[in-house]
Amino acid sequence: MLLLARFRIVGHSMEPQIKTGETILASGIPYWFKTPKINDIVAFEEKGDVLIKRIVRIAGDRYFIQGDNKKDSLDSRKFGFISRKQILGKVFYK
Amino acid sequence: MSGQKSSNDMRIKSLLDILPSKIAYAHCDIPCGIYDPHQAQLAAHTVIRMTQLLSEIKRDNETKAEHDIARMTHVKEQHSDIIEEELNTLRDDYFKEEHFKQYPNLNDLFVKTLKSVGKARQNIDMVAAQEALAGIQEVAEVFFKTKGVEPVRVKSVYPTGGEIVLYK
Repeated sequence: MLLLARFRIVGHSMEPQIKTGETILASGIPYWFKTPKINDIVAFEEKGDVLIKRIVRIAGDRYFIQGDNKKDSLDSRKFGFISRKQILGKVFYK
Repeated sequence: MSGQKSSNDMRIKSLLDILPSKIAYAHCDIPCGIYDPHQAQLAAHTVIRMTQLLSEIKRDNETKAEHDIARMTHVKEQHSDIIEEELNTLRDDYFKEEHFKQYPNLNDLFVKTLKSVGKARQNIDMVAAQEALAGIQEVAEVFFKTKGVEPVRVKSVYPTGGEIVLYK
């Protein structure tokens, strides 16, 4: 889990909220006290890359994440639920 | 309260500047592989044209002038958006690390060009609009070189004059 990290976004799947080239801040600290909830935008690890998506469904400690730009997003619709361990932090500033 | 909020925003902005930046992917589903700097060049010529027309507005009919200014400014905004999106797509999706190594000024070129686009968007500034086009043309030349074709500058057929970058 992250303390605090700055990321530059590459890709269009979170448009219009977050556009490619924009910089965001993410931190794992909010999840020290609360569990991730629906509508949170999270940074998570998937096959060695850090990805940014929104949580749309929760089943126990598994999270179904999706891009806001549903027509053009590689997300849980393709690779399934992600686990709590994969979530690095909450996006809290852009 | 708003003063406190803006001071918090300033602190966060300082954090953004200090922290090292990593890449996070907002992956698209379909990496189509189809990239072309042409759209950005067309949009840059449009921004130049709108800047020209805005500079030439006549105030003899105030209502018409206001109407035309609104429309031209809207088109200038739209095409500035297109340039930014096209440049970001080329920088983030097309150009790879090896391209940035091969052309060490490429990242600075993107930064400089995007700044000019911002200035051309915010003002009626022909110098900035021309600088934006010049930057995009340099990006286009690098793009075509990385594709293994020879870039060539040809005279544009637009009322803005100047050139566009194609390839042989």
